Formats: sequence, C-alpha cells, structure tokens
Amino acid sequence: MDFHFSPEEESFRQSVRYWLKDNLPEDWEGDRFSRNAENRSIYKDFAKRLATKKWVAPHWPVEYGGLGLSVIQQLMFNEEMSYANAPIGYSSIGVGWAGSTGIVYGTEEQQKKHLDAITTANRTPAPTSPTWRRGPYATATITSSTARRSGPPGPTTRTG
Amino acid sequence: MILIARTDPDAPKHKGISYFLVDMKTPGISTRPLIDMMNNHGFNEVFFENARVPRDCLLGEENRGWYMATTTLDFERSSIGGAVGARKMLEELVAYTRNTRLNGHRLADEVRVRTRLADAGVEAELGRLLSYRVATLQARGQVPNYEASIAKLFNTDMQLRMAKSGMEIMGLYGQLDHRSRWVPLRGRFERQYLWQTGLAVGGGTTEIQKNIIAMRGLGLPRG
Ligand SMILES: Cc1cc2nc3c(=O)[nH]c(=O)nc-3n(C[C@H](O)[C@H](O)[C@H](O)COP(=O)(O)OP(=O)(O)OC[C@H]3O[C@@H](n4cnc5c(N)ncnc54)[C@H](O)[C@@H]3O)c2cc1C
Repeated sequence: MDFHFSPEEESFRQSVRYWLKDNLPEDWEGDRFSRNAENRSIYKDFAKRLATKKWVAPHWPVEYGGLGLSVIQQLMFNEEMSYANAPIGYSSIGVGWAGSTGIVYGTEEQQKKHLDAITTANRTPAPTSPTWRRGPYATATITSSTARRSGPPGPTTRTG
Repeated sequence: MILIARTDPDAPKHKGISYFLVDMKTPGISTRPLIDMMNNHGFNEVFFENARVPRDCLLGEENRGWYMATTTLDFERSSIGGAVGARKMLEELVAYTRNTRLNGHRLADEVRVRTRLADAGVEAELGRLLSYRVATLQARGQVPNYEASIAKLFNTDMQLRMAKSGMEIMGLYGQLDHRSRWVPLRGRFERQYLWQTGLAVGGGTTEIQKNIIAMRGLGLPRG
C-alpha cells in the first residue's frame, strides 16, 4: 500500500504554500479567527485575495463559486492555511456553516443571494454596534425572548 | 447570522424549530462584543428587540430546523485543523531552545527540555495522522463518526499541552503580553495557552467527545 500523496496533490500543496507567502503580510502573527479592529483591513484585503483564486470556499462545487476540490486537496489547503495562520474570521461561519447548509437546503433565490456574496468576499460581517464602549458596563440578563408571527402563516404551519 | 428559533411552541422538543438566515443589519438586532481573556474580540452577545425577520429568511421547511442544524454541525465535525498549528509551534519552540542561553548553556542542551520536545514531536505527528484518518474516510465516501471525536479530543488536548510546554520552557518570559518588547516568539505561546482552553469546549467538550467514543467507538452503553 502506498501512503504517499500523488505528485499532483503535492504540487497543489506547494502552490498554496507559495501563494500564502506572497499574499500574507510578512511575519504575519494575527489570530486566525479574531475580528480585532486593528487588523480589520488586513482581514478584508486577504479575503478579497482569496476570492480571486476562488479559495474562499474551494471545497464547494464549482456552480456555487468553489473549485470542487477533492477531500485530499481540501485537507492540504486547510493544512497550509493553518500553518500560515491565515485569517478566516470574517468568512468562517459563512463558509463552514451557513453557506454549506444553504447549498443543501436553500432555494435557488437564497443561494444566489448568499453564496455569491460569500465566495466573492463581498459581504463581511457588520461591525458591532457603535454605541458600545469598552470598559465596565451594566450587564443585561435576558433569560428568554418571545417571537411573534406577523403576516399570513405559511402553508405548513399551525398558528401558535 | 444563523438563527435557530422555536416556531411552534406546542410541538415536541426537536420538532417545531425553524432555521433562518438573518441579516445582522436588520433593525432591532444589536450586538455587544464579548472580550475574551486574551483581550480578543471573537464573540458577541446578540440582542433582538422587535426585530422583524422576513419570510424569505426561512431556510428549508418550517419547523424542520433541528434536522437541518444537525447537517450544519456535520460540516463542523469533519473540519480539520489544529495539528498543523501545533507542528509550527513546535518548530518555533525548537528554534527558541537552540538560540536561548540560560546559566551558561543552551536550553536545547537540557535533558528535561529535550525530553519534553521529543514528546511534543510525537504528539504533533500523532495528531496529524488522526486528522488524516478522518480525511481518508471522507475521501472514500464514508462518514466519520467516533473517529472525528478522537481527532478532536486528542488534538485540542495536545495543543494545550504544547502551549503549556512552551510556557514552562520559557519560564517567566512566557507569561509576557504579546506586545511586550521582551516577549519570546511574539507571544504566540501565551496567546495559545489562553485560547486553547476554549477550543476544548467549543464544538463539543472533551467530556462529550469521550461519551461519543465510549458509545459509538467501544459500544459501551449510554452512561
Ligand atoms: C471557542 C468557542 C467557540 C464557540 N463557537 C460557537 C459557535 O460558533 N456557535 C455556537 O452556537 N456555539 C459556539 N460555542 C459554544 C459551544 O458550542 C458550547 O460552549 C459547548 O457546546 C459547551 O456547551 P456549554 O457551554 O453549554 O457547556 P455545558 O454543556 O453546560 O457543559 C458544562 C460542563 O459539563 C460537562 N458536561 C455536559 N454534559 C455532559 C455529559 N452528558 N457527560 C459528561 N459531561 C458533561 C461539559 O464537558 C462541561 O465541562 C463556542 C464555544 C467556544 C469555547
């Protein structure tokens, strides 16, 4: 049994590694998932660069803005991104959770609206409320909240 | 944001929950940063005050949200990372012990330090292979189950041990903030030491992973 990766797979790994070297700030030491304001422009710029390579969600099928990478290529991509400490805080929920679930369950309209924005890095999360100030603040405890339907119920619902 | 909300209060536990994709800019939704012990802003408290969510935000079928949420979590379960970060930290730690002298000799010459690094090297390699195992199963079209729990459990514990080893080898310098001019390796170990504790909780705590391994991996009865 041969445990080695194929030459094509290894050269894919190399191409990711070299690209990251060229496209991350030198001596990049930021955190992978944080959204600290000081590095905001770096995160956004890097997301755009990933998008030009279709590398925001390279494991997604081509028709949804990915490259349809094989599992082994995904593994290598993730390894290189992780080794380089490449920041993905601005897209991780969209790529890893919301978008992927949208591919499975979303309507065509929803897919058009969300998936394209994710893979082109055209929508990054809203900044936190401007009213917030760092420092001690009163803690609000919300133990529950209620939702109310307004407008006509859908065909499958009971009113509640 | 992903919003999972109960839409039928009379339905049993897992039924009557719906899955929404909601625009964070919707009026009535506000957020307040949660600053973690690294002084990092990675999470928020989210408040909903009279927020109106239009019907087209509903994903999939109404009241079937729970089952879709488990699909979402399956994506999380198969994610791979961590082991490689540990390898990079080890490489940096090795370089540090080669270049740092204490009481007239290099840290790398101390038996205790060398043994620690050797252990860490074995663990980082093991973590990588456990992750490869999960990927191999996926590449064959199989669904990883307790194997993913093993990788997650081992890798988060291993990374914490790695960070701890670094902190101990660096002595008091290890505790310095990453902005200090005296901090070794740009404070990576201090940050990792604090951050890694949370990773043993997020995505299913260590105890939950052990439950899964016991039940599905070893066939033990539900505890
Ligand atoms: C870094 C990080 C990122 C996160 N990201 C997200 C996110 O993006 N989205 C999201 O929804 N959530 C997120 N979380 C929340 C995370 O999923 C929960 O914190 C986690 O599932 C544990 O739940 P809990 O905090 O309610 O602890 P609890 O379930 O209350 O557990 C408390 C303690 O009891 C133990 N315990 C609980 N049940 C059992 C059992 N049956 N047997 C043995 N021991 C048990 C646990 O191991 C733990 O030590 C994140 C958390 C962290 C730390």
